Amino acid sequence: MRRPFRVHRDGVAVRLSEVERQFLLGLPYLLESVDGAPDDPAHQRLHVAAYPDDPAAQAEMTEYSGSQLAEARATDRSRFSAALEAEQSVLSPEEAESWLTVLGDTRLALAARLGIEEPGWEVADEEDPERITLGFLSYLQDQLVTVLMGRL
Amino acid sequence: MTTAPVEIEEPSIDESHLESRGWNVIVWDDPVNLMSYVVYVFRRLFGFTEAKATRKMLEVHNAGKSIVVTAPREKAELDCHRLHHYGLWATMEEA
Repeated sequence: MRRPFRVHRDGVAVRLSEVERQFLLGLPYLLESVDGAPDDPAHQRLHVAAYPDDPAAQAEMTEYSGSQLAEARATDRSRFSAALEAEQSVLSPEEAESWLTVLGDTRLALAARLGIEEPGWEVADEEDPERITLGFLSYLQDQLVTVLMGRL
Repeated sequence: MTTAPVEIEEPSIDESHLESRGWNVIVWDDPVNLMSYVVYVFRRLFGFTEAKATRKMLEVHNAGKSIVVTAPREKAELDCHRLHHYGLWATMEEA
């Protein structure tokens, strides 16, 4: 079976079908739609409170690190999009790391919107297109983790 | 530069509350992040060995949470922030 990611001396080799590439190009847009929707359960999942029981400490931490998190995510998404648009066949280690977090954030966002709160969801209702999407992203992330783990 | 020693009267302060053991960063279980991914993040961010990262991941999975870092507040907050960047459910707690 053709694997999407492989070890490469400069980072990670990536091989996607055109359908897969087009599909992945949409992920940053999905994540952007989450950014502007504070009531979206996906937004809540991607903005975890470090101090859930201490609003003052939480407000202070958000002030200091909230924009850093937003900037880090923006960098990840633009690296992800740029590599896909250029149809890159090799990702640098930094790009691969950004792919990992974009795939991960999208999984978390989709799962939050689906209301997944318990384990065992992987096998539930495999006909549901959103769950099929989630399963495909899980596969990609796991494949990328396997390759990156080998580089540690 | 230095100054000549001057005798001053030390104010008496109860310093017992200053003995901070630092802050814990706790990672909580969530049903979505992959086990392999969580192991990778622990190794990547904290330099854990594969064995330690796996043990911590299993603790999160089985017990619902695990303390992954204990450090001065500023360092703990930075690590908490890095875990959030990687999508892990991390919170702060005084040790």
